[in-house]
Amino acid sequence: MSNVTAADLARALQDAGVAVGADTAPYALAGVEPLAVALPTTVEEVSAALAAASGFGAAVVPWGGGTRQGLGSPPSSYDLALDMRGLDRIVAHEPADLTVTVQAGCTVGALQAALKRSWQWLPLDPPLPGRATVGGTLAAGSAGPLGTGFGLPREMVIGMRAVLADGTVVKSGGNVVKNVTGFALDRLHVGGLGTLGVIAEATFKIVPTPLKEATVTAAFASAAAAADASAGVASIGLPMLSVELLNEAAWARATEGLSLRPEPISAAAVQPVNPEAPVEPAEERTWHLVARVGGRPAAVIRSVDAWAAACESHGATVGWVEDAESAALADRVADLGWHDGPPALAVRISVPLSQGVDAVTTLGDAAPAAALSVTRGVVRAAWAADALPDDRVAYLASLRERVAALGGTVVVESPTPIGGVDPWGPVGDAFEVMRGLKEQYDPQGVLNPGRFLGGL
Amino acid sequence: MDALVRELQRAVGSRYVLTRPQELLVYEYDGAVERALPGVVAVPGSAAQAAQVVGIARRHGVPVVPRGAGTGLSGGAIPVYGGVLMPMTRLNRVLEIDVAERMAIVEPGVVNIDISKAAEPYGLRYAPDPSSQKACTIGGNVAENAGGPHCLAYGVTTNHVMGMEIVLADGSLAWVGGRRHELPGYDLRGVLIGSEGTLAVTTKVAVRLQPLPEAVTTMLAIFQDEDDASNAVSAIVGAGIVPAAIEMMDRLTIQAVEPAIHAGYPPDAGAVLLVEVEGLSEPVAEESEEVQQVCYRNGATEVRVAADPTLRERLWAGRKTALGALGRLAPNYYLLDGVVPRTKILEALRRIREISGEYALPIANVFHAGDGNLHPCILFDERVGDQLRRSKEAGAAVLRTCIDLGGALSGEHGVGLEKQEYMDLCFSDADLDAMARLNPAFGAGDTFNPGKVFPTGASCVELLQHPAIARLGADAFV
Repeated sequence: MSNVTAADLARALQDAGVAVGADTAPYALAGVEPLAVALPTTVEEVSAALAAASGFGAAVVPWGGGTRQGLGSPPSSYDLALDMRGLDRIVAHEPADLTVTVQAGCTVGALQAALKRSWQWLPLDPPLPGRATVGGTLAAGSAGPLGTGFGLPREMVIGMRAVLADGTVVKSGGNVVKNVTGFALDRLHVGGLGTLGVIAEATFKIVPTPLKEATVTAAFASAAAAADASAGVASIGLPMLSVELLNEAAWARATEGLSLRPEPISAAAVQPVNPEAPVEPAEERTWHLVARVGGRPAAVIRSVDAWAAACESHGATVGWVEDAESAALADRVADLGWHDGPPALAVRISVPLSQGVDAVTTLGDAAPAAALSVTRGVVRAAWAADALPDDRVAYLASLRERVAALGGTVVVESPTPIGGVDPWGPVGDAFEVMRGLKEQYDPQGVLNPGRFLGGL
Repeated sequence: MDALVRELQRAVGSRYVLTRPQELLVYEYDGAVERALPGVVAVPGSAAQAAQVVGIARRHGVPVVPRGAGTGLSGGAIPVYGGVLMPMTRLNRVLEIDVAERMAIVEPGVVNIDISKAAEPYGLRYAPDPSSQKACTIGGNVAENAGGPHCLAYGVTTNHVMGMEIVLADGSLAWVGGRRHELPGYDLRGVLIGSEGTLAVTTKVAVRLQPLPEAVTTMLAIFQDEDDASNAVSAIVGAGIVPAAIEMMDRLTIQAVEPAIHAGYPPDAGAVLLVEVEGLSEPVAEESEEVQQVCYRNGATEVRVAADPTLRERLWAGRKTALGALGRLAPNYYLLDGVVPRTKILEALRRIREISGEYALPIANVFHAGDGNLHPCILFDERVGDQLRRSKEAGAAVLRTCIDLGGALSGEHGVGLEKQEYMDLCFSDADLDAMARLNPAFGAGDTFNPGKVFPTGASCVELLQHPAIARLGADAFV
């Protein structure tokens, strides 16, 4: 839309005091490279860069680690890549307040490493945490397996500084854990895919790291049996971190190369891990329940017992791992299908909880690595480039139809756009309000244009 | 006006439209002190009727002010510009409890505690528990993003509401959020919660339910001074324990409470902490032991422990009657709702003592210490000299202190009329402008609850004519 040239844009950025990147190729989206790359290192420079770009009506795509750039349609126009990774500082961490303020370009992994020194963590588990930035993870808005224990990323945000399309820096919330002063504008940016503003800084409430963690793994003959087993346990208030039901391919990928030695247990007596114990064979089993608990040791032991008993009574073969092994397995489950980088195709299905089993099984034989977050009704699935469905358009259309019949939605994520497939699906209620928000906060339509729900 | 009333009568039925002065008077106030008479009261009996009321008001160019139980402490339900006041209290049904999905769908007029009562037979509860939970409605909770003592561990209203059915200003009904955990699109649910009824009216609420805890232990720790108690709060959280609640009362509050309810506090007690831990029985036993140790290490002279519901209730009794008991010390009080980071509680209390001295007015503190959510209560007598003016100025000084310490104006009561002129202490013009743009995005105009939240530019003199001074009943509890 804008007629700005690369030279004009670069000069305007430099005049505004913002460093300009030399190479635009790494920022290509759907084969299109931007005219320029801005490399701000402060919130003020982000503001200056956006003000400069909006002066030309130039279209801007905010970038973090790029792991989720496959989310949403390709931009309808693309002039400037705004690389936020120069804003990588932890601004404030007060352990006794259980709060942390961090710049958007800090990776989730770096943040966790810093918090761990105080025996605290931010319970966010995006795929590829070493690359995924805090800002990008919030903009994508979805939870990993930890959503079971801690909810969506939005639940942890207590304050934010975001930069609007014209460069205006807007604060909402603050750094106290309880606050109803003013409207919660941060909610718009979490899950807003950078279409209403660019997240520059976020303040989170954080939690103490569990003193102990363990994961029960159970192989079931059917997904329904696993869900039945979970339903009984989930209602007794155990300190759950995540409950994921993996299909055979997901289990194979999650445990591949991992020196995982799940200890077979009986519900009657939980024994300490014996590193020499063999992995329980699971030839005829197809569904693997991976239930992770964390908390005080006594609570963890009791939770392991409860899960093991429930799974065994539903005919499963049960094992368990603890501490570092449990955490390593959790990382793999969170990374599902993303171990080598963003997959060629990924979908997220969200259905009412009671429809979860139908949703994960409806993926069918074309099914790739898939996992159902059992107590949330969210299915994640990922395809490698060499295992894509023959006719992706027909497959996804049919999948959407089946999921719609379950009362759910399918979001399609792919680094290369799939012609004829809207990544978001149909718009829901109150879409006029969403359009109104876009008009209010980005009237020129320059932030990630055309990438969001309904072409916003 | 006559045409407006006739149309409202057709929409909701004649007996649910109130126009006589003696009927309107009931609706001129809420839990704050501001008053304003509505032009007319219309009480819808369904979401469709609520939508019709909004449409009718819009056509007549008058505002609609939704109202729950009227327990709000910031003037959120006061119809400052008249118009149609719309109580949502006929919409009081729990429509559905879905045990498998651990959620409930309720109408906005359902009283907060009634959700938990309806869920209890299934071993579930609704976690946020504003202190007025026996009276306040879930619709009002959504509007104010209400908190409560037990929000320390579980978060506030927005963390437990999955979605709402709303009426937009054009009279249309829509769902935002809903039964599912992930929905594509902007989080309209999230910006509406806490928007104080200025953008839309809620007609149904989908709330998340959680399992009832297996074990609960309540501890009451007695300290010689506030500093020790404040240090104990930081030390508990610093030890990696996140109790369900940590509440604090200072010396002045204790002096008011003890003669009123004979809770058995030593006469020289400088501060008490109420700490509640809950969950599985094993960690609860361990954590309550650790909390006691932390309290003793920080100078507690005594820690009383109760796990039995009756005994636990007794420990809470002093806390729950504190506000009413303060009425024994002075005829008026001005109750604040500032927040500071919890590590700054000690400093905040010290400065509040200085402010108390400076303005020569006693200030009692009874508050949610675990969240850093202070409720300084300025005691005065409006009939005596310039005490009214001084109370207002002292309140402003306290709020400024909270902001200086990195905190906020309101933790759970909302901004409403009470704190709108202080918003610029927290936010720049650009921040406030960005917040104000939600209104056109929702197409709200002046339809819903106008004159709230944002500064009106009223001078201090004008403000003084409308001091937000709570006169609550003896059973009030914040």
